[in-house]
Amino acid sequence: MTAQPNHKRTVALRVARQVSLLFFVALIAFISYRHQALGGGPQGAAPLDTYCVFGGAATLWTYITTGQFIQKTNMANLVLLTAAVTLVTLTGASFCGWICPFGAIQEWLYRINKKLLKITWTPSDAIDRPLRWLRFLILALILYMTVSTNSLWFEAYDPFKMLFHMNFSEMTLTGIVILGVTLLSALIIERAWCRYLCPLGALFTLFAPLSRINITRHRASCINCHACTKACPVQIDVAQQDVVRDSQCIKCLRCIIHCPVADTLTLDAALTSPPAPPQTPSPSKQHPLSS
Amino acid sequence: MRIKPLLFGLIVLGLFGGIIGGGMASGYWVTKQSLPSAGTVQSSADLKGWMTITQVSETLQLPIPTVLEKLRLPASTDPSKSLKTLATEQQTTPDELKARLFE
Repeated sequence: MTAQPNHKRTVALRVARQVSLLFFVALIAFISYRHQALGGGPQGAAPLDTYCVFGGAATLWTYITTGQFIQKTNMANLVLLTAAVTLVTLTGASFCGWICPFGAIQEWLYRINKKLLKITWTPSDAIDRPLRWLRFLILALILYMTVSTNSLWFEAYDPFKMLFHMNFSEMTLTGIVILGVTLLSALIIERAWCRYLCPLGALFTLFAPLSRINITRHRASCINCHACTKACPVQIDVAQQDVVRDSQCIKCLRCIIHCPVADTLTLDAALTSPPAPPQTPSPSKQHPLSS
Repeated sequence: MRIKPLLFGLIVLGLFGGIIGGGMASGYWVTKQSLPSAGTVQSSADLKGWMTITQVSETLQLPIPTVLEKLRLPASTDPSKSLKTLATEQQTTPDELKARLFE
């Protein structure tokens, strides 16, 4: 007989993550509203860009080479970048799963659509894997253009800014179209922007493999139901891995929540070396979703 | 070492918030833009939309009436208004307004 996971704990975990995401969505909305109400400069409130983690990456080169910041960015961007990169290096891309307001909006849109319209699409690996490289192209393009123009070149196209900026008069047509396409695709494909286009996610992918905290699958108790793989919002085949070291893992812990056997998926920290996978052989490799 | 999922959430938020808090405590958390030093403005790009007429006057070391004249604004214009606000009122862009100062 297999042990059942504690229902109260899984509910608490779901609620905790959603509360965290809601808090950061509200915080960003408040910051943006305050800027629009008070204006910028020493007498007003800083713009949304100053509170953007990616703004830190965009302004870093200019700061190193000139000691100046690109317009609308400031030292706070570098503090945010340091916080996010440290977080990702120690815990994986947990920023995306627990903090990112734009990831939260996408996640909620997908959930609403899944319950109401039920028009969703899970891209096959043949489509999914190559598309993920787009993020790196976008990251390289943004950094190149930012340095070349010495301005936040991406702000006119950034769907995060378009969504939270709260000033319709400053929205560009291209930006509105990109935001529309992004939100539409998020309805159909879970976290579509995060998976295929997010430049910050691409940056995190470089640090996430160093994560000291990873999800471990214990083969001895695994019943190969593949509920974990089915639950994963970024299509990681958790059921086929002993330790999830995929840099795409946003540590939403949905796989742990959906696992029907207690302590089969656990979070393990390795302070000196990555956790060793359990040695017990897996009884079956067949993927029930493929049949 | 096994970590409980809820504790993991607290670690994530604590670590992120802790570093930002450390930045605040050590004075690195700077969000507000500062006024360019007087006489350092070289082009319209150095002027920001949030600057008031008074601040433009201080930065460019020009009297307020001269600034208003260059901006082609009435002499009765409130000098506490920002370039962005004035640009909206004049149905132009802050960049176009700023450019007038260097014509």
